[in-house]
Amino acid sequence: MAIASSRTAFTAALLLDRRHAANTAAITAVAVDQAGCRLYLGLEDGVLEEHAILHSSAGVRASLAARKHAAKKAILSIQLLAAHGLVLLLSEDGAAQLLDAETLEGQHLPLRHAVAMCVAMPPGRPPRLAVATKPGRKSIRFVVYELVPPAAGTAGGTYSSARQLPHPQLLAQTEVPDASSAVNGMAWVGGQLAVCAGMRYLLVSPFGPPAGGNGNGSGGTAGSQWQELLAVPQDLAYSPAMLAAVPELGRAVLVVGPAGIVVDAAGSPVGSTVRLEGLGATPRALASSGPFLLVVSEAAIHVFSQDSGTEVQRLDFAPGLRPAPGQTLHAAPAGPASAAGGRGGNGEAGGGGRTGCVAVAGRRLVWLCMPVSAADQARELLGLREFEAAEELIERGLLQGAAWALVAAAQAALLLLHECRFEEAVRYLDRCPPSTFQPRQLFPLFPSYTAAWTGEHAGQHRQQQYWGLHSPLPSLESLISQHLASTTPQQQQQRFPQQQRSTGSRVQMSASEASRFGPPQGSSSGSSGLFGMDVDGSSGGAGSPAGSASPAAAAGRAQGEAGLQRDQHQVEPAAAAEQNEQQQPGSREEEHGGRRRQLQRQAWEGLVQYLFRARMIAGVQCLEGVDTLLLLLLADLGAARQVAAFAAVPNQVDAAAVEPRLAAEQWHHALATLHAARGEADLALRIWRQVADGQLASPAGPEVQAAEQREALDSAAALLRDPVACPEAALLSNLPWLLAVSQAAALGVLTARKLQPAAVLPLLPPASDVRWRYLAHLVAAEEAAGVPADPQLHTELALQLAAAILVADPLLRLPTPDSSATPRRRVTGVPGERSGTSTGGRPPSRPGSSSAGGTRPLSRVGSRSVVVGGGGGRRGSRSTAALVSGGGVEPAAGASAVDAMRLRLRAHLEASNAFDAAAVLGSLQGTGLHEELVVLHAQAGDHMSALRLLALTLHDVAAAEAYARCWLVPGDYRALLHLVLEPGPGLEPRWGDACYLIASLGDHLDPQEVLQALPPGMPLAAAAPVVAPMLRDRLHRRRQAALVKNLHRARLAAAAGLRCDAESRHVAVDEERACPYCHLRLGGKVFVVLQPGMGPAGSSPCAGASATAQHAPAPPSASAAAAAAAPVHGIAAGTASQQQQPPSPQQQRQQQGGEAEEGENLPPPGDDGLAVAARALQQQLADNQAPQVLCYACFRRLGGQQQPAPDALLAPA
Amino acid sequence: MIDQLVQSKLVLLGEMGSGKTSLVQRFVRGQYYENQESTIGASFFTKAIPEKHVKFEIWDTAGQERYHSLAPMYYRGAAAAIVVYDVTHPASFDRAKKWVLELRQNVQNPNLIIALVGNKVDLAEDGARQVPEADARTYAAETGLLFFEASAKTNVNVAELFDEVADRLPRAAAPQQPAGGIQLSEQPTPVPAKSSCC
Ligand SMILES: Nc1nc2c(ncn2[C@@H]2O[C@H](COP(=O)(O)OP(=O)(O)OP(=O)(O)O)[C@@H](O)[C@H]2O)c(=O)[nH]1
Ligand SMILES: [Mg+2]
Repeated sequence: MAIASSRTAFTAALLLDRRHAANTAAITAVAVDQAGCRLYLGLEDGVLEEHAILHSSAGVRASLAARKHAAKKAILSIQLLAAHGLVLLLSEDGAAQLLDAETLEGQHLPLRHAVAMCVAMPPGRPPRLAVATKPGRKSIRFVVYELVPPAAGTAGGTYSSARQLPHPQLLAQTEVPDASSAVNGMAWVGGQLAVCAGMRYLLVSPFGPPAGGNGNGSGGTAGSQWQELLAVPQDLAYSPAMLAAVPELGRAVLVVGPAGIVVDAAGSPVGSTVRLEGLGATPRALASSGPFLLVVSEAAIHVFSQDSGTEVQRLDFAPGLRPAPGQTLHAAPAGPASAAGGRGGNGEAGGGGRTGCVAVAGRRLVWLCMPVSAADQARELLGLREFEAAEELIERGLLQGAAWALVAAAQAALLLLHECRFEEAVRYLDRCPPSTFQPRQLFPLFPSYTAAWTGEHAGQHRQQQYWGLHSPLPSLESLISQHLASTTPQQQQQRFPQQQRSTGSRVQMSASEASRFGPPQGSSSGSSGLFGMDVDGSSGGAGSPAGSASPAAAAGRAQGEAGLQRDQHQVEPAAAAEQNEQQQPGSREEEHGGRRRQLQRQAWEGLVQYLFRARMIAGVQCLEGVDTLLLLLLADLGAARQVAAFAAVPNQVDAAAVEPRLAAEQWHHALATLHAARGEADLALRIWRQVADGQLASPAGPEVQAAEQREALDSAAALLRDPVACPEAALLSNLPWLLAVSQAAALGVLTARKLQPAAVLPLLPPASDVRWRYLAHLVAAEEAAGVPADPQLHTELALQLAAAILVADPLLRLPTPDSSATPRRRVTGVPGERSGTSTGGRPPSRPGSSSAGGTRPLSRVGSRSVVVGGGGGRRGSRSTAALVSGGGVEPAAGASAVDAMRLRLRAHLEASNAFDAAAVLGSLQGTGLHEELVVLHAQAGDHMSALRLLALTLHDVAAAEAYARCWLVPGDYRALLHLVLEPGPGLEPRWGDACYLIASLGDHLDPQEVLQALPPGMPLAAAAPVVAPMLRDRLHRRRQAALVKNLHRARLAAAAGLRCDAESRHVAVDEERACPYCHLRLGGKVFVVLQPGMGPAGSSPCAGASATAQHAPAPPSASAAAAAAAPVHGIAAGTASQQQQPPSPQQQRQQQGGEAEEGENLPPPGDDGLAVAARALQQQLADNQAPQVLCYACFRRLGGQQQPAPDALLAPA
Repeated sequence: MIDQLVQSKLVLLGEMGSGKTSLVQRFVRGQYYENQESTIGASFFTKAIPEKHVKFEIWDTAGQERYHSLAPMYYRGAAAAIVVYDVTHPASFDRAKKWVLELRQNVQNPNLIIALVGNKVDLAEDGARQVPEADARTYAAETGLLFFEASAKTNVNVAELFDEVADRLPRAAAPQQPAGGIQLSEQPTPVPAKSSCC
């Protein structure tokens, strides 16, 4: 038997050759047990033979163990239940028997016309036997028995001699109409039976319809159901219908012409069709085994993978043993494995279940197909370098967690490395844990890089031979050389179709030549790559955005070319020798060079990826060597950026080993990063300083160099910031340099760390930005920490900030801003915004100023009014700093640097009370920092100085007014007025400002003072602009006051009227009072008070409700009745003492409004609700109407029965 | 995200050589083979469209007439069917109409989505078109089918076709379980004798 396909899933051996045996009866049935040790043959004369299968190194052999004439006619089917010691037979005469496997003795099942049978071993249940019988032409009956073990069964078989047979218990039976002549096959599919009857496939559910309920025989008897799955069409009927069970998955394979359709228990197709069309012969028998389907045709045994539906192996019959065409063939999978059953033969757990033996029989020949373990298959495939086929197996093994699969993966990886298929090799390596494959096993590929580490573990990794299919790894260079030497250009083209540069010349490299490509001897070439070349230049800078890598990579490339030349030089003698034989050595060399570079690059890239991943895994040995190798490989790839990135992560790179290389590549940044990561801050800083200063520049364009310098500076600053990596001393020693290079970076460092200010401050240049910012940082930190303020620090901050401002804006050194000619006015409050008495009190317009939205000289804050709004903010409620800044102390978006600093200074001066005011005052006085001085004065309580600055120096009377409101008591507002009227020697009185103040602070100021201050000789025309608005304002105030007064008076009158009304409703009821209707004393009775205008019937509840108000004190005895009656409308009992009617809501509102809003919201007097009420009251009084008091009985009588109109009720009075 | 994928059974039907396998190969693997082998039985593919929360279980059936009787097994319980014809081949359009009829008769899922696809439009430019687009479009509109003209070869409308089908699938509907009652056209199911119990 020859093996046609490369994959060996099964081996087949001829087990029996009965062609020359004494008994010439043909084989009609075959069975083999799960263990592959027993073979049963059923013969056409009704004889059952049991053979022992002997496995030996020479092969397999069968020897007859037992023989029994079991049936009168040919045995058609043998089923084994080895775990239960049972053999089931079906013979042509329609009898079914249950035999004891030991004795082959047994009993007949109580049925006739049996045509097919099958067994299943449902988990946790006794085995189940299904028998198909054909009692008539028109139908098939299916009978299902449960083979209850004898211990549990009651009456055992009467035949039993040595041992009781199980008792077959009828579970179900069902009948299916079918006219076909034969049942060709039957198999359990889950709880159903897949049946092949004639050219039809049926799905029979003997236990009732399946849960899915897709049977179409609705209304069937006794819950039996069946459905036709499909009928083989005429066109496809050339191959017989047959089926095979896949019991592990609860599926069955149905043959329909060239298609093997896999169906599940619901009868739905599963997965792709098994493609039988390529058999080249008619399929005659089927058996499934694990993930395989074995199809026996007249030509061969075909092994199909059920997953892919494709043929994976073909076991051809030897020519002499080939079955005759049309001959019946039998295939029997190993009997069903019980749950407790051991491993079948050398079967392995496959995808679908155990892969067991399969017995195949012709008329006189029996073959045994034995599964080859997946490990063995993989080993074989790998030995043949059939990587694709092996991969499938290995993947499956890895998925199942099989230990062999890891070995196989490592083995495959090593073999692939030898084939220079680096990518695939790495894919396998990635699957191997360190316990299977250690990254350092790759060290031999790079002897010069790993020389320091190969020695110590040499012994260990020589042991890792796996399946011994590979030779030890040579250096990568010789590996590639060998590979190039051994592959022809054609092969290369196949594998690397993208590289079709073949010249057609054959590569014939001698072994000696190949060896000359060996690795460079020794590790003296530490400064250049192992291969000394950068490939393709495509890696230039490895995508470095900062561009720092590009120059270095270029340098690496330059060296690489030198290295390449050296290589070529080495090869030259051999090449020269070749030249005699080869026509085009140049092209060959060139081609080799290209291929070599390509392979090297693939190797580096693949292995770098692998090492990156592998080094993270716990259990990796010799991490130092791995990391060093990784870094050097990255260097070989010219990946400066990745080198730097890798150097920055925690690693164990041997810095000494890579330093020369990185230095030679001019990858200063990477080297410094490495040093920094190793905790050698000084070394790292030295390199970065040199790079940043341009002392260590790579030979590249100025742009790249600038980027490098930036990067070095950033990195150095980052290192200096890190308190762990960089001690304070190192920082301080580098600080002057950093300050010189970048004050911003220096500040970043200083503010990121906690340092001794005493050590730092002397290093900071005076009046510099960095100095005051650092001080500000210290102050803020102090505050955040809750430490008591350090006056020195605060003073220093103020002084430094002021100094920095003066440095930044030298114009401010002058005491008066040169804009003094134009008075500065910031935004003043829009008059309408100010409520209260100053309605419409506009400040007099002044030349050169705009009232609203005007110039804002001091600050850019425009959105908020600087003038304190509302009727006087409380003292101290608003910060002076915010006031002089125009509303806030945060710099707005567009604020200039100087403005921001000034805001900062003001905020500091206001917030801090720890600084030395005198010192700060000294530094500010005489400068243009007036606003700051205002804050300072305010803090010191020198309000006059502050006001003088605001009103006179800054010409900002609105701010001065706000300041006064903020800090002065109203009695002192005069001082401000005086200030503007008498500004001092040499200064003109500021009439406009004075008018403004009179208007805005008018309540507290006397315009007389302004008038008196007017110089006597002033012409009226000149005085008019001052006097007229003032007069207007006064007049307005007077009118307003009169208005308010009158309004108040009106309200007073209304209130008095209300009081009258309330009092008139007041009735006093005592025990002596009698009801005016029945003239009886009220005594303790319930009584009713009716206000004038109300009928006794309380004709509306509202009217009644308003009458509940007043009653005189009544004796306590009345209270109970009154309380009970009270809810009745209009009725009150006199327990409560006299009450004042609560004021109506409207009244309340008006009273409050009067108090709080000074008549602003007063309704016009004519519309006053109170006046109406008062008028009504007066009317009542005039009519002499008084409230009526009557007893409840009369009230009911009068109101309840007659429902008199209020007028009628009032009449008796 | 992944676990929210709704599995949907999709079946391709149509005359042999109309390009069913090519369309599926294009959609699932992005590949196209000039000499695609004729399908035997049926091929099974899966493809997820995570954006649409759909995982298609695609049954690519054989178009050869001799496999016709297998088709019910495959379209039973399908959520969607793609009926393919070849725009250069009028007979294939007639066959497609028959498939639509058969689906309407035998699939009881009222929500079954049927898409009619005229494949090989790349050939239409060469004047090889035999089935006018308007005819097919009208037919599809009348019968309530989605309609596309596509080319597996030039990858025209392939992704759109499957996307559209995915869009039409009932949201969050569980995969259609085979819901009883396919009627095999060849052999009407004999009704078993009425039960005589009780
Ligand atoms: N020009 C062109 N040819 C196509 C296109 N799609 C498929 N074909 C070709 O048509 C032939 C048949 O394609 P298949 O995909 O096998 O057709 P099918 O419908 O699966 O056929 P069956 O499996 O036999 O039912 C193949 O040779 C394809 O290359 C297309 O869009 N344009
Ligand atoms: Mg196809």
